[in-house]
Amino acid sequence: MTGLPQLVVTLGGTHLERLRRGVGFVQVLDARLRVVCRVGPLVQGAPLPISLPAAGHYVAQVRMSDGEAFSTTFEVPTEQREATLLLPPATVEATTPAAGGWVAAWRSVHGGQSFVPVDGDEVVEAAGSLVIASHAAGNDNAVLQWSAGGNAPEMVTVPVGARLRLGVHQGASWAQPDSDAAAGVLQFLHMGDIASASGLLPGGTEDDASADVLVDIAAGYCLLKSGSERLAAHARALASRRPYSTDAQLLLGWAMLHDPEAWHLAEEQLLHATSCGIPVYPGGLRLLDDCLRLLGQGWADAARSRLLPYQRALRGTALCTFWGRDPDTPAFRPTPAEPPEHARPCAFTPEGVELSAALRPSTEQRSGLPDFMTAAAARLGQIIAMGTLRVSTGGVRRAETSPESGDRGVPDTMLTLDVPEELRRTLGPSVVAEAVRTDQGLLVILSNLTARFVAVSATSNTASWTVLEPLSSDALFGTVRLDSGSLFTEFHLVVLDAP
Amino acid sequence: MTELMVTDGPGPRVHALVIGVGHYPYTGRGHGRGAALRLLDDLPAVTVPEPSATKIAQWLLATERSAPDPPMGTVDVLISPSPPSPGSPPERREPARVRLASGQHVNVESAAFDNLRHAFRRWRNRCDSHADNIALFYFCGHGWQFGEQLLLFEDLGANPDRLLENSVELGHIRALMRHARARTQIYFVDACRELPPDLISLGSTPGVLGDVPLLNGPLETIDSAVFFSTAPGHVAFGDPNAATPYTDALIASLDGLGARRDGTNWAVTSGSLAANLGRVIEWRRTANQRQQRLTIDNLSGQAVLRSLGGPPTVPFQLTCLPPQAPTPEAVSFHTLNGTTDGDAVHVMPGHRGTVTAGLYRIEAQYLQPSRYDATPVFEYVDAPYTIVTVTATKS
Repeated sequence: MTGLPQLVVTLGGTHLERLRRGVGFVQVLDARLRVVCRVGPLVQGAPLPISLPAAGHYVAQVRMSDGEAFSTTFEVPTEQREATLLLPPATVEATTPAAGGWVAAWRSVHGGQSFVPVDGDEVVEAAGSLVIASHAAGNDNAVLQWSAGGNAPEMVTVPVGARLRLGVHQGASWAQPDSDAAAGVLQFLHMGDIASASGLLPGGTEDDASADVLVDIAAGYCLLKSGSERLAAHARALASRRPYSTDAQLLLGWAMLHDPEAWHLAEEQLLHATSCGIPVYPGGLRLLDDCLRLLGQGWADAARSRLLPYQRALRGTALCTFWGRDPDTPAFRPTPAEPPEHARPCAFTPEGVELSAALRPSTEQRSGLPDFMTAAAARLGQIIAMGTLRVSTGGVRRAETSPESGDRGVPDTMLTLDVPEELRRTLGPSVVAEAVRTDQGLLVILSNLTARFVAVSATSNTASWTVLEPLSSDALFGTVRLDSGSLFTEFHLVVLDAP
Repeated sequence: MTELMVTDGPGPRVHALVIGVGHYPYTGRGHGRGAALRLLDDLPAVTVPEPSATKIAQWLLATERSAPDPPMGTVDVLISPSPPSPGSPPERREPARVRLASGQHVNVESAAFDNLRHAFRRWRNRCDSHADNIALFYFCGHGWQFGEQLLLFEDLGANPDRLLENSVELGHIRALMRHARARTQIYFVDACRELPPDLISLGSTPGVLGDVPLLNGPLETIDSAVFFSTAPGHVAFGDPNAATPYTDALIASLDGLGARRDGTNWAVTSGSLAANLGRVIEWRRTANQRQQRLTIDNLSGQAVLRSLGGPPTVPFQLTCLPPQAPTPEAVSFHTLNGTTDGDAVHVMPGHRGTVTAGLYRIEAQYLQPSRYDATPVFEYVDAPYTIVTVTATKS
């Protein structure tokens, strides 16, 4: 209808202030309350075009995936057939300040029985969301662990290659699919609103893979919950595309259980599903439990027992989310933990997650070093070099002056530290490392330096690193805290490209 | 045996098993030792299960159902009433009583585990008699979330060396019911879902109601939704000696607030109940009641639980804008064919009322002379509730 002014229907009215981030589904009714169109996903700030059959009064019924529901009536003038629905953007999240934190990915091994770290550089940033990029053989569902703003770490299951948004809002962390369709469908299913979830499903045949595997998985659960006969075909196609996806294999197993021709093969199928890891959708975990109860064989009981801790730990969100130090030990309450060795530091901002430039130290850099060093180094920044300084044999002398002891006129014992060759290459060939015990701890002085950003630690506590400050143009110093009366024989040192 | 027959004879029926556990004689008495003692002593006295289960049972017994819905068949009721004072000996307690549709009251059995075993068998057999049967399960009492939801019965802790002997996993009940022919099996659970750490270290196993048969053919597609009153890890709650907000909202939803319009018909389906029940709880929540997070598991299909003869009567709330405008003297609801639905409503800020669900032209009238006027608004007043906004303009 060119030439007519565009009809924009603003949705929400007075509800706007109560809206949080969410995805909506819209059903438009005519004056006789007949459904004339069903559209979605409705995203705040994104216009949603609709076509209407005639002029007249209409009602746009909106259901948001966070539970909000409201309707807006509007009138379409004569000759107009097109309109645009607009839900104004919420302002609440924009006020959420950025928070520091870290992320770490894990993948399951040994037939889904345990988890191993995924290299930090396999977690990549994609327009504010995160993707686990590594494709390990026999495995598709990974676990992303994160801590924002000092919160206890949380974990969420996510398919490899799927985009996930993480954030923190009013002190609480959240995770949801980057795809609005997947986020909306899964959230509606979680809330029990199958009608709205179904309305968000993209069209197409079962063989059509969407751009995001999470959409396909969400669609599978939606078909399952709505009792659709399309489930079997959808699950078969999805399981074929993602042969190691727990959800895909579980959906297929469930469909087979109901198939007069294939029910007797479902047991093997479900056994395969349990070997692929933890489902993405929490309803999938409970569905798996239902299936295993019905099978009731030895292996099924063993699998149920293995999955039980995850069921206990589920946090009641639309994705399988749980607390814990690592995915092998899910916890049903917040469990403070240091970042794992392979964690990557990041910032959680209103726009999404910004991974720091820090990369995991190379194998060469890590060679011979205790694990905690690489873990700590990963949270400090990009590593140029790292190593251990040991007290030089016979290298003890009386300090004549030092920033701490000189004032008191009491000479302290100055220790000379051996600098390994791999560190000399970065710090400078003539570098001198010395330490002296003071009332505040150990004063460390590095001189004849070429590097400018150095952190040291004298303990195996990954949080106790001290970034050295400039003492002169070629020297750095800093005080490393020590437990009272403790002895030490070595320092751990990392060279960073920035503080 | 307290199986209350409503409609006997062949054909599909609704068969309900209603359980309310308001008395746990082995809790709070220093019974057992170690983890078992702590778990038993941490369970507080509860007074809401008896009124809640009684209310549900009486609603099921008295509510008329019309074709094409299957009529109410049986209601099996187990209620352990709360003692008049904590620590009263069990033998002095009166049994709970339920009022039949006729007005007559009958005594019901206690919610002891052995009574459950018998009642469950009766219920399952009834549900197994026809594929179009509707199986309803309602439980109000103490619960723990032990991976699966544990339902705790009156004699929990009778043997503290087997603490969970007189409890049952909801998943076990559902697995057994999978072999009953009823294609609609709906579970309502109004119980806490916390996981006490002692429960994990204890290593006790829940009671068993029967052997789950191995599959010998393809599974039937059934709707086996579970409506929990609260989220995993959270407590359920209610005001003392009264039915819980969840129970009240459930009845209101089954009476119509949980309905959705499908073409020209209105019906409460498992899906519409899932979409509306949480909102009904929130709508009815008073300022001194805590927020409750309903959760729904295993919902599948769109089983019709109750057909309504027409659109339900639903609540609305009027909001008047702008804030500085005077409150309208009255607001009237007009259907689009020009009739008025009921009398004009006199308005106060935050006013709530009820009206038949539908599309209305809503007019606000201001006292004369007034500098304000309001353009009529069109609003679809829908279940479970609608907020109607009237915007005034200076005339």
